[in-house]
Amino acid sequence: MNDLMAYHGIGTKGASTPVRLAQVDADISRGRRAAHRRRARQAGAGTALAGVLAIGGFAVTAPAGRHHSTRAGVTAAATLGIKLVDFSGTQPSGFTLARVPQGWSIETSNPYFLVIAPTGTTHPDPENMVGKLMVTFEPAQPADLSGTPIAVGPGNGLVRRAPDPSGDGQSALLDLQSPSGQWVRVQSPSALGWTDQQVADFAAGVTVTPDAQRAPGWPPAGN
Amino acid sequence: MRSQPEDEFRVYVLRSRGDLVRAATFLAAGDRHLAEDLVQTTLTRLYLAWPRVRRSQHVDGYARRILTNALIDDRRSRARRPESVQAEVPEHAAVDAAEGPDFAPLYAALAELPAAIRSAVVFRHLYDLSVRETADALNCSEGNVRSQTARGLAKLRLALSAQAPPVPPTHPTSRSSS
Repeated sequence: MNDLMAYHGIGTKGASTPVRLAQVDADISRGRRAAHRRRARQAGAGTALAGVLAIGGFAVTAPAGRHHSTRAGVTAAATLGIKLVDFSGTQPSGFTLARVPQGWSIETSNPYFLVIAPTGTTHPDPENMVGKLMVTFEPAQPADLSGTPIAVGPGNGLVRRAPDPSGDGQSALLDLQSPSGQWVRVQSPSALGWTDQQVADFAAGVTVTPDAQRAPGWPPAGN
Repeated sequence: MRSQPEDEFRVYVLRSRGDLVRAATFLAAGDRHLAEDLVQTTLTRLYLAWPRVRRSQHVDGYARRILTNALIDDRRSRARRPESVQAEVPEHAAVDAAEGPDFAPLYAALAELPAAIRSAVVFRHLYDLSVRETADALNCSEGNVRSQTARGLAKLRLALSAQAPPVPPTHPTSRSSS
């Protein structure tokens, strides 16, 4: 290959990219934040959450042809990550919420999707979803239904894990089908430190309203 | 107040960040924004692991392994990400003017390689690592490195040949003996 590379004048032994001190400081700040999130998750693992989280609201049905376990008792053991608290703000369009993560609030909502982020940390780019909790309508049945069946309120969903876009830990992807056949996905970032059941507990408090619409594409223009 | 391990990490980043960006740029097939994302991810993960790896003799190899995993994670997450509708044609990665336009053919050819094969080729042949060091960076066997680089080089050669105009036939130079 060297002959062809030489023909194109390609050399690979150039000097490395200059490093600015501001970049180094930013790298260390990111590392500190990641370490802080990890410590918070580890500390949360040892904290018992009193009571059982209420379940209700978003009724889902099992996808045809799959068997679902009820995972009885798992909800009571959901003790990891940021806890859910009752939602007290103005309900968004397209969805209503029963609970949100403590210290988090709605950042963006429209009839297509809902974004919940830590209060006061709104990213200037509305399409930047890193570290945020999302509820979206799926335009069609998700192609990947390889998730693990999990109880969501009175129904069931499919949950699976994927590398978090932040590069730290894993996101949870929970696919649900409403009684009317609409598919909804809840994407929980690693920053929440939630177990699968905690994601299901949040999803159980989500209700679809008649204003909800399937997105023509994703992400649509936010409001 | 900064700790001694953090000061050591700062020195490491100052020394190695440029090399990581350069390797990441090859891995990202010239996409400098993706390369910067990969390096930031790598250094964040390295920071978390620093108390464990800072005394190791193979910190660079560990960083390269994280970088490779970050690239593979990025490919997978892009494959899962829903398609987006854009009003305008998205921007394309530009070749760094400081590098000169001569890298464009290589980046275009690298972009056609799967992430794992691209990583093998970049570390083995563009970054001059040994087979063992490349295997360490990719967390695979040396045999796997050989097979991946062989496949990758064959594809690169094909791609670069297609971009090169036909080489004119050479004629033997006649020397007059006087």
